[in-house]
Amino acid sequence: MAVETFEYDNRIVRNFAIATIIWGIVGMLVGIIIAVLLYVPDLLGHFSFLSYGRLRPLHTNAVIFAFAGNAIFMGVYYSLQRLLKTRMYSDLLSNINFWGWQLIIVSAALTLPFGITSSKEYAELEWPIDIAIAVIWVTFGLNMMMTILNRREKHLYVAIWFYIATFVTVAMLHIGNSLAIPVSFLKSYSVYAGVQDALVQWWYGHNAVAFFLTTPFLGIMYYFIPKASNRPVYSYKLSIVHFWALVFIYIWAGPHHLLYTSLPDWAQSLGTAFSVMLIAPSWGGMINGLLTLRGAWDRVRQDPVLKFMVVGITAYGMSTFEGPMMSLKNVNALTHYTDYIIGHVHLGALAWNGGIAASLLYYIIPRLYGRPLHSLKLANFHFWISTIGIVFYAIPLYWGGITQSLMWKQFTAQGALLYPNFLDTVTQIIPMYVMRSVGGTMYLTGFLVMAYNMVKTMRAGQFIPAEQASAPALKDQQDHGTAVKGFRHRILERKPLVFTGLTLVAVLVGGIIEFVPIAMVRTNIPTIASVKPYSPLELEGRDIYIREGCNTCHSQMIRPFRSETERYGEYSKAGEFVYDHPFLWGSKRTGPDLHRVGGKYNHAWHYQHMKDPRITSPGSIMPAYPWLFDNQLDTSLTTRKIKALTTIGVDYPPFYDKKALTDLNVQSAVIAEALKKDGMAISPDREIISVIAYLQRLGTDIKANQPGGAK
Amino acid sequence: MISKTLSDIGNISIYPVMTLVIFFTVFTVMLFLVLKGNKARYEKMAHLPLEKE
Repeated sequence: MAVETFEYDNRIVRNFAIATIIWGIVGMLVGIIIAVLLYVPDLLGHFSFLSYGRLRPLHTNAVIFAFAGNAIFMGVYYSLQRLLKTRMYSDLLSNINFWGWQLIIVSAALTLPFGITSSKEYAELEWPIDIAIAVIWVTFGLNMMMTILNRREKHLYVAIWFYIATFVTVAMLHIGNSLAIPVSFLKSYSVYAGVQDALVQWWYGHNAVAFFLTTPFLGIMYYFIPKASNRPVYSYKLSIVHFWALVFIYIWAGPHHLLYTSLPDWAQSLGTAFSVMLIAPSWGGMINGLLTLRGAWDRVRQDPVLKFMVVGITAYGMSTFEGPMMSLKNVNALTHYTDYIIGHVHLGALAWNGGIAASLLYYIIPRLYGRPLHSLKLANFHFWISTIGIVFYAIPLYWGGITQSLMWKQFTAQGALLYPNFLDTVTQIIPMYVMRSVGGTMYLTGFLVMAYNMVKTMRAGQFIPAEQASAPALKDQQDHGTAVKGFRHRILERKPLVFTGLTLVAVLVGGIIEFVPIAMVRTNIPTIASVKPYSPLELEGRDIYIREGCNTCHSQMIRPFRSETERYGEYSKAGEFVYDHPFLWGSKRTGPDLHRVGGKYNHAWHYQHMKDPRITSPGSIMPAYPWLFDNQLDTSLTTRKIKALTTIGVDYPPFYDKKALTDLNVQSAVIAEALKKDGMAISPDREIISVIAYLQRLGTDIKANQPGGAK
Repeated sequence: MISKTLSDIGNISIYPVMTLVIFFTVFTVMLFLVLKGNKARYEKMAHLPLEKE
């Protein structure tokens, strides 16, 4: 048997490692800044590009796609080559993957703070960047699949299945959710509306967590835990069952983000049922990871790689227990829209994703530089400060979230809301926000210490760009598999393309079964005759609402609870959102729901409130939006916007785009006139006028015939 | 509203049935394959990361 000699590409792994550290620091720093903005809203002054609504998507994108994304590539490029006993298929594709990904991150940083956003959570980037993401992701996938086809190891180890599932599913989710009709180079509208858009978004959003923040990290766990502990995985059988169960079940669970919303009840129940079932495969993974360390716990005490792994996997187990519990409708009624969710997410993000990323760096960097870690003491410091930081982060938010939710639901003996002013429930939990930012700062401190430790290790060592290895070619290896009769899973493991196809089928099934009926609802939706498309001015106001990221803090979805209908008004109906491209239901109530805010206050109130929220609502933590009063409304795209929306099914009258601007001017003049009467003279062509028009329209369509309705 | 939505979809009752059938088929087939698998082979597979690189 001829043994071939080859080299592993360490350079690409090193590049992704450095990018992980840099973007980790940036993403977490932005996180701390927005955490502080929640209790010092004027901290950064009144610059539009530094306001909370614009920085929050920057934080989420930076930590998910820049920090965790680069960590995934680092782990995959390191382990894939070694598990397949071959160099990556193409250095060129590896480099395109690396530089393309960094370019996408930079484009995100250059667009999100300037309000260029689609508003869809974790998919905020506009269409040209979406296309770039698809291209670079396929480049990564192609490089990986070609490497697999050129391998020197017959069988695909379980880690690689997770990498394959990650590639195919993320590609499917990204393309499915990003379908939009462009209006200009940096503006587009989702092709889906209202309920459908919500379902597609959370099919994507939930599975972004599943297939970007879970499956690749599980793959990494399956490679690095055995490596670091020098023990084989606890149960290979369990890994097979857990893999197929996870990829098959996860995809169905998205609707648990939409419980008690206008999504049809059967879809909500399906989401709940599959979410509860998810405990089994999730814990299968956790158990398999932790039990791999049986008999090796002494190593955990000494090795930072294993320390971070153990805490990470434990947190993964806790999060994946919490998730199904919050998918139960009675628990969801309490936790949804609150900071509990933020605590839950960060338990996973900081301990699981951040912990595994740190673990990877502690494992890989010393090996790439051929020397031990610079300081074990600093690594231990990092471990403890980040672990305590996570506790300081999560517990206050759990506490604050439940406290606030209970306050929202509290009634007096006479049956009125005990806290009718939403703001009272916000100021109550400010100390929790303060503690959370302390926890986050502790975590970042640990991360910075790790970065220092890494730099020192790199400087003291000598980088090994190419690591020599040898193995017999695949065709020379005797094929034992065929000696056993019948179909076995291992045969599947040797046919990567069939395996990939089956994985795609597994993840497609749930999506199709949930989406098809909802898509059919599009034509049969319980339409409400009085629901009309937005006027051109309201549409422009809505686009500013999207630009400023108002939906990060305000929901537009009143659940059918008495505590909500008392506070906000009639619960939200599916038929009210048929013209909402994209939907703006939101997922968090840092401020009150706005679905029925139309007509609740007069124009002057909104004018004052947007100028300085503290004037109308003392103690408010909402940012001020002074630039809306200076900026002239850009109407250069209005006609094209109306045309684009007509193309995707919004019922504007024929040729309405031609008179859109006239209507816009008439409506803005009316609002400006009303403001003038209240002593607030402002030119009708300012952005604030359109925002007021939009806010005053919200939720009024079905109030039209009621006494006291806005129209 | 929801009942109207559901009644408007043709053959809505097929969805839960399909869901159940697909779910059980996938898992039964998978468990069958995994449990019938060769133990020695699983051992070998589990040791893949520990082989000399």
